[in-house]
Amino acid sequence: MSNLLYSDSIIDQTSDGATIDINFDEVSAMLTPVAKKFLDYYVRTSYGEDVFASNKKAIFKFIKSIDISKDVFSVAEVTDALLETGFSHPNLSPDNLSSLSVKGNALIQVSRSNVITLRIDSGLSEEQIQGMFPKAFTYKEYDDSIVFLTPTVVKGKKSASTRKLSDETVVDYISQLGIMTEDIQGTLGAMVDSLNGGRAGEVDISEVSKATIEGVKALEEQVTSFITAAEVFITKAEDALKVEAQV
Amino acid sequence: MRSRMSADSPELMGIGNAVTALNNEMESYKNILLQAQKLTDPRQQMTDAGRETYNTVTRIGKLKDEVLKSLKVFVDSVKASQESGQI
Repeated sequence: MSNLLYSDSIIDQTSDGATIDINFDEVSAMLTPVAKKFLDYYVRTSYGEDVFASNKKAIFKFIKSIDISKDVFSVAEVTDALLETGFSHPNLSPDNLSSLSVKGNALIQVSRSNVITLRIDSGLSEEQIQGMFPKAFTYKEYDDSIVFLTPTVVKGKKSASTRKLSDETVVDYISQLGIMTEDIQGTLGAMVDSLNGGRAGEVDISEVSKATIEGVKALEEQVTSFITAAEVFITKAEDALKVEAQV
Repeated sequence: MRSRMSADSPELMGIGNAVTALNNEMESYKNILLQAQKLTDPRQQMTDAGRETYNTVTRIGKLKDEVLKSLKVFVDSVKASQESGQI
């Protein structure tokens, strides 16, 4: 199954200067689900595909510098790893880390339009997370390791100009839906593999049955979350277009 | 006893087809999102992605129901085979 993020390779050099090809599909395949989600979300949602393309080496260094077999990362190791990469972006560079802060166990990136919390070390409650911020935010847990926080829109109070679309807002929504789409495809792909095994007589039917039921269970949750996120996006799209039509 | 199911088993084909149809829909949607990401105007991005998301949500809901229906057929078939001693 294709991968939005890692479908490319870069050239890296070993310590003795030899040139080696690195395939991002292979790297991605080594990641745990949590690590993959973190990297997908961190890179794509925060920076977009273009920035990813121009920072491949930094991102790969980042991947290499963390233990990709782990399911939980400490904030310190993620921050240190990020600093060592030389990752560059106007909103977040090693020289401008004020936009990246650490509160409690959460690594937080503040953007102009929203706040994204990457809760790497789990264990914080919704109330604890909400309490970290000076004003109300809408809390949405994406999975055990990642939390979205977006500014709560006060109906009837916001001026049209503050609700206009920004690049970041749209990219955030589209990226979130893209990640959820890939998650669903991951589940579907595993189901297809299992079913094909059953059809070929290579896998016991009771195992196929079990895997299929588990797959459908996961699928139901993922599709429900996807539809919820999609409906929020649709509403935002309608709202934004109405507002812009009035301006 | 290790069971075998033929490649043309209607239950397996049914759920396989339903799962594949949903996967195709997701793949198509992913490509739409990728195209939207390439647009430089956020308003246009929102318009295009919003419209396609609306259409996709309706289709995905239906396809998910098809997966659930075919799962029931598949599970019932496995149960029936187990009860009759075929598995």
